[in-house]
Amino acid sequence: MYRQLYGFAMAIAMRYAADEHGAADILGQAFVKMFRSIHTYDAAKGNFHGWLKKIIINEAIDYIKQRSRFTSLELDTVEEPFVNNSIIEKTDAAAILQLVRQLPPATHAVFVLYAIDGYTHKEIAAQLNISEGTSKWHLSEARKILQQKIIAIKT
Amino acid sequence: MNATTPYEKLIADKLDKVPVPDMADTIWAGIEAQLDVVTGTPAKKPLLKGKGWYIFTGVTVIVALLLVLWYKGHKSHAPKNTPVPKQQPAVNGVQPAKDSIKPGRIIKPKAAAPSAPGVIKAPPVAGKDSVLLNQVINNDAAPDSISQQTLPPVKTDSPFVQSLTLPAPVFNPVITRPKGKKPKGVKGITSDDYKISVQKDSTKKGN
Repeated sequence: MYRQLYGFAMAIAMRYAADEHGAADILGQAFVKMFRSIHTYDAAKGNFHGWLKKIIINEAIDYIKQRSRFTSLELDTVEEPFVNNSIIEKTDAAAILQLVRQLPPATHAVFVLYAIDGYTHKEIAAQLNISEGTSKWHLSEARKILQQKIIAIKT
Repeated sequence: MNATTPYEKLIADKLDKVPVPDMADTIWAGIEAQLDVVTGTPAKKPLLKGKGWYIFTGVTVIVALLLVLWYKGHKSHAPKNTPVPKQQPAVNGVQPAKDSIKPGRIIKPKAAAPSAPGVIKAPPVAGKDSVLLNQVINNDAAPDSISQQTLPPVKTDSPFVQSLTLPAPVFNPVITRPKGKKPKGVKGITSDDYKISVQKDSTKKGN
């Protein structure tokens, strides 16, 4: 069972961790929790992969909280950055992951939660104990930084 | 701001394709160790929760109080339960202080059967429970003496108190005689000493 779920689970953990060792820590804790609470899984509420993904993300959030500070920041006006999609398409997946990992930890977490895993700002605010405005600020900050780095790749 | 941009969707797709490192065995070893620890040591549940603690404390206090009361009661009853020294029968045998009993006679404490005076019932070797009569006689007080006289006289402030209060008798199993029948009359005067004689009738006039 572990072998079958390893690739799926490790891919999720890799997005949130700063490196492979961090991902291994998240994955190990998540699987321990999964095996301990596997009797609580209800197939009627969703598929097993979705249930495991939630466990991994929760564990990743705890991991990030232990290692980063979330200062309260409010965002009033939002300026959408322009990013050339063709550059991303041509870029290697590992290189993209490195770009995301270079974001500040809190900004990194908010970006992955929002842009990759589909959380709303309200959900992110609740999970990270921050305000929705702070979540929006981190997302905006992430987009700005990524735009600069992707342009840098192009040049 | 509330919608993902196209490049973010591209990034998400790219991240799903990221090759995962081959750390499955290493991570599994850690997982297995943690699971073994969890199953090996059952989680300690608190013995008492909420009201249980108060109930436990109350029961403990009640039990402690009962133990203290029992101990005090036991202590106060303890002297009553102590057996009377069994030397008394030996003293009873000495009580008459008859001349016919010769010194050196051994009296068994439970030998109650009457025997002819001067007959030695037991061999001269004294047993554990035996009492040598000569020792007892030496310790015996005179028949008329009061053993309590060995106590210092009690000084009282008023005659009322003097008449009411008596010194508490001290029980000495060796020298205290059991209460027997007191001899009537005055000592040294027997019925032979009394004379009944006829006197003049005092009721007659003219005397």
